[in-house]
Amino acid sequence: MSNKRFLKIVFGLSILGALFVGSVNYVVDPYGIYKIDVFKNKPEQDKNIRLVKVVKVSEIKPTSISLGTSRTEYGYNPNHEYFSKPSYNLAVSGASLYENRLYLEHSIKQGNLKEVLLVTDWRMFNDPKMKKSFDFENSFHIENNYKYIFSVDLFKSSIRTILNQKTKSEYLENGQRDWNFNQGNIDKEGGHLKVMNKDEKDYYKKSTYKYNSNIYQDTKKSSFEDFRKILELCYENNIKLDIIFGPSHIRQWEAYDYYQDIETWYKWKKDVVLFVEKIANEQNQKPYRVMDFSVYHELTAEKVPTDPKEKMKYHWEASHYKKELGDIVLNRLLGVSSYKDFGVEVSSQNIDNHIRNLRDDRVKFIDTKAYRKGVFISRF
Amino acid sequence: MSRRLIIGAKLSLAIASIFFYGYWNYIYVPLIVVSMLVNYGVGISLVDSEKIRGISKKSILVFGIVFNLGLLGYFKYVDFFLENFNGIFGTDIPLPHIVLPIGISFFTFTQIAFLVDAYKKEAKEYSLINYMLFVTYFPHLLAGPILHHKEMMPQFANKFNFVKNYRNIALGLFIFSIGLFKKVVIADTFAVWANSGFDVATTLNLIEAWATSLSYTFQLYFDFSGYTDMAIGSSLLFNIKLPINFNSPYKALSIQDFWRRWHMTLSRFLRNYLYIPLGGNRRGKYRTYINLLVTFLLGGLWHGAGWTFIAWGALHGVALVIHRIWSELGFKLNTILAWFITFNFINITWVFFRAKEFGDAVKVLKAMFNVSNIVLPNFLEIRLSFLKKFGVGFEDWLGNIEPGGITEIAPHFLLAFVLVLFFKNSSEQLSRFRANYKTALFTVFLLSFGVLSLNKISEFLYFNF
Repeated sequence: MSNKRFLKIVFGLSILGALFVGSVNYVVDPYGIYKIDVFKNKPEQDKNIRLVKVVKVSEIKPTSISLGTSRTEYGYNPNHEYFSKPSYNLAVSGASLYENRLYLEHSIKQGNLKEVLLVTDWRMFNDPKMKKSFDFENSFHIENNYKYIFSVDLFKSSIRTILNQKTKSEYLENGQRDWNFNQGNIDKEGGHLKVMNKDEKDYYKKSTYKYNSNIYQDTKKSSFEDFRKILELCYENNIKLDIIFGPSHIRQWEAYDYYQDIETWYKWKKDVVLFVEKIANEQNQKPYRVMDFSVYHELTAEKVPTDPKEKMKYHWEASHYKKELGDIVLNRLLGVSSYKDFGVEVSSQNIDNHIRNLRDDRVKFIDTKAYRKGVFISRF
Repeated sequence: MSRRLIIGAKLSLAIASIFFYGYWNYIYVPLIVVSMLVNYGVGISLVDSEKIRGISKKSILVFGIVFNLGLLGYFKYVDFFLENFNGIFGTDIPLPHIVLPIGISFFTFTQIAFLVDAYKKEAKEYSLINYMLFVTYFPHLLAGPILHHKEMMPQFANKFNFVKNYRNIALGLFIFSIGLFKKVVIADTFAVWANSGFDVATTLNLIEAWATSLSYTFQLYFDFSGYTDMAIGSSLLFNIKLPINFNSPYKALSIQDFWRRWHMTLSRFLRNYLYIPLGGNRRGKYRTYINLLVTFLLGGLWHGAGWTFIAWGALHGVALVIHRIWSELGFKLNTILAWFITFNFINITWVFFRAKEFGDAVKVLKAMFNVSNIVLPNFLEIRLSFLKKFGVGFEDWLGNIEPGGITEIAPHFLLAFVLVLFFKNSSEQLSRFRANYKTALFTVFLLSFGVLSLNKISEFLYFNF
């Protein structure tokens, strides 16, 4: 064979191969980003939920959304009456405040957004990674998705989509995480207590969160700058924003205290509250409501069963809670819950007093020494 | 062919190369241009030193070397130096955080070699345009191979190299495709596991630690040699042959053998311009050992500004000394044992090379030898449950590296071992190349798989954060 012919064959067949891969990807559309429904069930979406949720929001054009991290994904049901319809759970696992801000901007662009529930947690203000993929910003340019057509990664997903048509996606259509899967995980890992002990041991490690000062650990940028933008965007677009501290189990704060000192967590809450009022002042507007549900209460202090088969009512493990607890929070926000003592609306007026109460309650609700012995002293 | 056309061709290639360099960060374009012009000036003065009065030839050379090392020192080592200075003297000098200009380590070395040879009258008076092309020539600019002017300049001067040559284009495409595949398909796959083990995981069990270090060992080889293959391939499109840089390094049977196969153009540079000037092996046994150690300590530091690199260099230096003593004593090892020791030594020392901080290196190394933290695959639990009383666990055995577990990881490791140990390497493939259907299909596979892997879709699979 002549070298010239060799070159012709290589180039010709390579182009044909690329076209084949491209057409399979387009038709199967494993992430639902090309809106082709030949394969209706798309379990591969879970692996790229950050991208999928962008596309979904541009389809649904929601009036209300919830933002946050995996706690929000699990706990808050967009079909609850708290949310005006159409609504969407736009939280994603491990989202930093930066990522949340971009999701908010994207939702505003769709033109219908009126209400936002922001479930804050300390980790999104101090995230190890400001963004989880280097080209995160690109995922908001939906037209960019066409470049993935020529991608082996997407091709693998296409093949798996074809093969796994019986597998269900872990996400519901409204963006909430399907809780049935989590029950499976808890059972597989040996029950609530075992999972809790294991997760809390590493959750707030110093090596993961070196800087406890509301900066992203990798870029060292201030997360409060993104918080400012979120607040300003809501004011500018006449959006009703509720900010809450979520009702994780009280064990979580002991895990926090072990590595990070619980006083810094109180201070973070106070910073958030004061910052919200500061921005309101700048904007000549009423401050947005801030409610603290990470308080000491029978709901957040639910007893953890030692029997691996016994199910908890409100919590998965210390950080994630079930939708049953999320529903109570949403009812409280609506003012229709029977748990009138659950959650405290906080402002500069009462925050110091509130923090004092938290300190007092902590001693009453949990035995720090026993907790540490159970979680951090290594067991064989 | 007309002379003007040839000059035009060279000039456009040099300018395109500088554009390529500036595409990453145009701020550093002046840096490479200044470095090139100063070195060319110094080089010319050295070749023609008789005409220069008042300054000794040696001073010119010293100036040239100090200039090059000064640039490298400023851009690469200032932060490292200040950090240690602050640490030792308790001062608080702010670190300037200078961004390392890409390729500076490489063009510094190629040019020092040029100056030294000009001093020794081994370099000729080259034309400026050939020299520019030699320094900036894009295939080698970012990560080598470290070229030597003697092998490049005659090629740039040879007018037959300006004729379109289908044989070279086919060869170039062939080896480029191999390199692309090695880099984006193989190396990038291992990179994910190495990154999770080194940078993300806080603790590792024994198997995870070995998976981590081996992943990096494979990542580095396929990445770097893949890159070199692409450089050789793209250069062949211009009828220019670059030197080979890797010759199946993981087949090495001794540490000395390894350095004859790994990053060969660097070894060549260090030998000719550091080890031999230090005296090489001509000044007695002990001096030889010291020269080896110094060469490798500096070689380590050249790879990066950090104590982990120095530690890596020191370990290799010591290993070479031990190997030397061993062979002087006339011992010989069984081949398989020799390979096993060499490969493991390399694998273990790469841990220092990869770790961002000493702490990460210690984390991985400790875990590699911590027999009290063994976790086996859960499917073995039924048969081996008696091991539990020795502290062996059976759950989540690869969770920190690859949630998909053994079915994801094992085939890749097996394939990588087979490739590095039993296959002909890309330079050998190149020399056996024949244009036929088999090779064509092989190239199509590598090329299209490689190109279609460029569009990565980043997955984020950590659910519970």
